[in-house]
Amino acid sequence: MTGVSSAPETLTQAIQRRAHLRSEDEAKHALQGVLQALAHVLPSDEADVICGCVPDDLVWCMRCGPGTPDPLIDSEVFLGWVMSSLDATAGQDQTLGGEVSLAALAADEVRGRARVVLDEIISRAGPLVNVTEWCARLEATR
Amino acid sequence: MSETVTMDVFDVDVKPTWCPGCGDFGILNAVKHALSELAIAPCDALIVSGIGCGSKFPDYMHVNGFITLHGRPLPIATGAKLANHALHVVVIDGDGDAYGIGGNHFIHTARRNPDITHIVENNQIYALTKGQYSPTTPQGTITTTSPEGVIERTLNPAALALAVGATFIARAFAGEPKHLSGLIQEAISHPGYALIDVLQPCVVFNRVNTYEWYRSRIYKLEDAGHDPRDRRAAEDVAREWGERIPIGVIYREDDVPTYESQVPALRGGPLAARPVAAPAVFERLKERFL
Repeated sequence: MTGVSSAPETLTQAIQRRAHLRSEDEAKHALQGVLQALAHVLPSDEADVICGCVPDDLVWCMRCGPGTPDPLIDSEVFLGWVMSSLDATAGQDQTLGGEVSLAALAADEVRGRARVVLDEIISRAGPLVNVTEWCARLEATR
Repeated sequence: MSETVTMDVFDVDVKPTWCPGCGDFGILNAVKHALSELAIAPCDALIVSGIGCGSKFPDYMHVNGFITLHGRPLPIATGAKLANHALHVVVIDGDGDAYGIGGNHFIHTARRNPDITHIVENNQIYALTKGQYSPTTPQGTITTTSPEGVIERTLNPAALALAVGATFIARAFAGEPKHLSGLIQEAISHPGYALIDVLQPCVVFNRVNTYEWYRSRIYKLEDAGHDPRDRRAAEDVAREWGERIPIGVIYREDDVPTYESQVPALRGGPLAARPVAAPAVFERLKERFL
């Protein structure tokens, strides 16, 4: 008889599956980037709610911000925090003798990852006004 | 009483060509915010840049702008300030432009002390030209021009500025634009040359010094009780780099006269405020160049 696990999918497993990432580590890294970005733009009440639905070892990411939202962080700076999680999306520029990431490709990839993470957070934490707004803002940068 | 200047008066329709996630976006927002907080209207500010990703800056703001040769924004800015003291002159360039190709100008502008704010987008790489090492690239880093690692020791801009007599030195992080805006406001208000070395992640060509890398290391000098008027303490802080990286005002000395206030030829006031001595010559020049 084939065994089918009935354990609920963890947040990082869901991100890995939906963002088509190769490993759960990669999903965790993407989650880390989004959480650190959120820590700089969310009011504390929403940050507290999110802390309740992320793995314990990533709660620090939500606590690394200045404590109050930074109004000067826009969707581009937000994406920058998530860019740290991107290792693989790259093209090759042989003229320069090495691998050179192509920012345009990386941007699509990172927007997709950020969107998946934000959607998963909303689905687990419930409707969060500011997180929903950030989803829309990221979508608008496409 | 100054009129209110909102951030959006600096907006333009041009979308920056910076890579998504580039630290320059945070710096752009911070500069707009700082000028707006200081109620400096677009017509009263001049942004001078050189060549590089961040040097496209004047195109992305509704403000007087001058994009000049690689490494040369500081002498151009000095000239503008000498001609019109009332103008708020801000130089924005990268680490390659400011510390490499324009390194000589950096040293001499700092010791000259014109009332100029110098914001350096320090991403530790020449990014526009696709990843050559700059003076601030850490030793040993592999880049397209250092395939076996950078040989030279890394330049420390804050320590160098302090050594050559800069009167305001700060370091900031592009991932925290609100904090950066506060530093820009202090720098613009400082009477003299003010350097802000902005640690700016390059999301494409510098995969080491990421937002996350900086976040785990930076701490704010104002929270640590640092006194920027204490030169000895500033020397220690300027050299601190590694597991902990300080951001904030490292050093300031407010009572040093500016260069423009001491130039004998300008005792009669800035050139922009003087009547045209030979109107016919001036008209001919306008006809030829405008």
